Amino acid sequence: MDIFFLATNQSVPAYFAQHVGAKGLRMMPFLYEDGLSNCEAFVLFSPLYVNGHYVSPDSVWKKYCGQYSPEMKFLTAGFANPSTSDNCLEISDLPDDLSQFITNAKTAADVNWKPTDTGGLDMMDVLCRFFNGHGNESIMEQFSKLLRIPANIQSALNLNFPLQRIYNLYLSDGDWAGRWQVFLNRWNRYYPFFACLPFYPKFREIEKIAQKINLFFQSDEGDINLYLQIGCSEGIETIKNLLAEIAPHVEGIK
Amino acid sequence: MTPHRNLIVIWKWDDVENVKPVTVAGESAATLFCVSQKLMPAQLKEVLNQLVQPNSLSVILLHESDEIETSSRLKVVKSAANKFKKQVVRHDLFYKGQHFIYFSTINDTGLIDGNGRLVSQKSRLKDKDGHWSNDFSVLDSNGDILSRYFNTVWDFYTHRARFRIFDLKEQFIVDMTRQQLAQYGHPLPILLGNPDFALLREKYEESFKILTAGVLTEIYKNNPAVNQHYQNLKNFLDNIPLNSENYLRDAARHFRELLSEMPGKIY
Repeated sequence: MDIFFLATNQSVPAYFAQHVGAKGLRMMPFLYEDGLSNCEAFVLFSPLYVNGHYVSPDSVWKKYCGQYSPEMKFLTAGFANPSTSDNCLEISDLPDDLSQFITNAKTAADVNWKPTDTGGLDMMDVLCRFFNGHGNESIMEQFSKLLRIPANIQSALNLNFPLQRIYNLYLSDGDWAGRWQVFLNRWNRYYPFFACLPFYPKFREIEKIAQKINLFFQSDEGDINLYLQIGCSEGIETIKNLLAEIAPHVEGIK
Repeated sequence: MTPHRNLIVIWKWDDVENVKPVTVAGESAATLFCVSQKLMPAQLKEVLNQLVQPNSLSVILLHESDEIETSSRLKVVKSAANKFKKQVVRHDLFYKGQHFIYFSTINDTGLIDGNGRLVSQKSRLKDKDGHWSNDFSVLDSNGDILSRYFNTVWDFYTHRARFRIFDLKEQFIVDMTRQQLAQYGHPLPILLGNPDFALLREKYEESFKILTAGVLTEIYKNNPAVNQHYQNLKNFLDNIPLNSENYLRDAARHFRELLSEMPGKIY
């Protein structure tokens, strides 16, 4: 059996591998590109060190794996537990027969165990704050409002309005640019933390689109041709859809 | 001359328009500055420029609220921290009642309630048994902050106590596993005497130079177990040969016992 793992520092899984190697199990670094479809067992070494912070994405991973690879053996490994229990391995106290332990571990979808707190920033909490905001609009509300202007621009284009008039009607007051900036501020603060999450490829895609759309906002205002060339409307719609795909994996979204 | 200690808390203060200094009883060189989070970034910049003086030390704590406002204020705070590198010893965000600045009835530490005020007898907080109580106050009858509450918060943020122990623990496991202790066929010396563990030793020395037993006693004066576990960890790391039996397991236990007694998050 190949055991996939995610860790910040490779020496810890290497140490771990010494304990499983003899039984024909193999430790393999998890690659986002390959996904979880062929994964029978997965070990998350937690906390991870991301963006200059210790982060604990354990509960996010369990929830995600429980949904997409419910039969997979999902385990966490760290240095925070009094002893190894359920699926949470204590590195300083590994079971004598680690291979057997992994084989007998509960599945990702099993609700009878939950990851222990490994002390870093709780990524479920971070994600929740990203989606909910801090007292103001949730990110989905922000996007609903952001999408109103592209809808109006599209209608105006369909009616062959002159570009200057479209600019005057929908962009000249800077309101839309302001809304975009609100999103971008939130995004830039949170995105670096998301590199440790199972749905990071979706976030990476959002980042690419956001950077592209931002070219429009950084250009001379009112360049509707650039707006069309970049595909700002479609891009914003895509970001909203990607966020909507991620949202069900987050607990506590209002 | 002892530098003046400024604890600058940018928050949703209930009765503060701009800035309100609160003195600390018996401490002539310590002040809490309550700064309204409603200040515009330019105003905040001006305020910080005034508060952070050459012969002073400042901790700046910014409440994380609405994202665009937090983002613009954080830029101002970071810029001040960068400009006054010697004076601003710590700047950080706090939120959601989880941080050390919030009053904890269990630990009897912290300064603020969740409603924009310093904890006083007007604050109704739940006591250890979960009953509502008006018994808590960080203020004396003159409205000054009782020094032990101020000093505990100050020491916590300036020494980053919990973070240092946590960070040392993580570095510890990385180094220990990297060196593969089992492969040494002979007894190893103690951590401090082993050149193979130079990085870890450096982090250990740096952490324990700042986190002395005296400092921890000040921060966690209501919990003697912290000092006991600290001594246990230090004795272990100072005296036990690196590949003695169950070294990793015992070290993990000492780290865990100490961290479990230190309230708050690492950030």
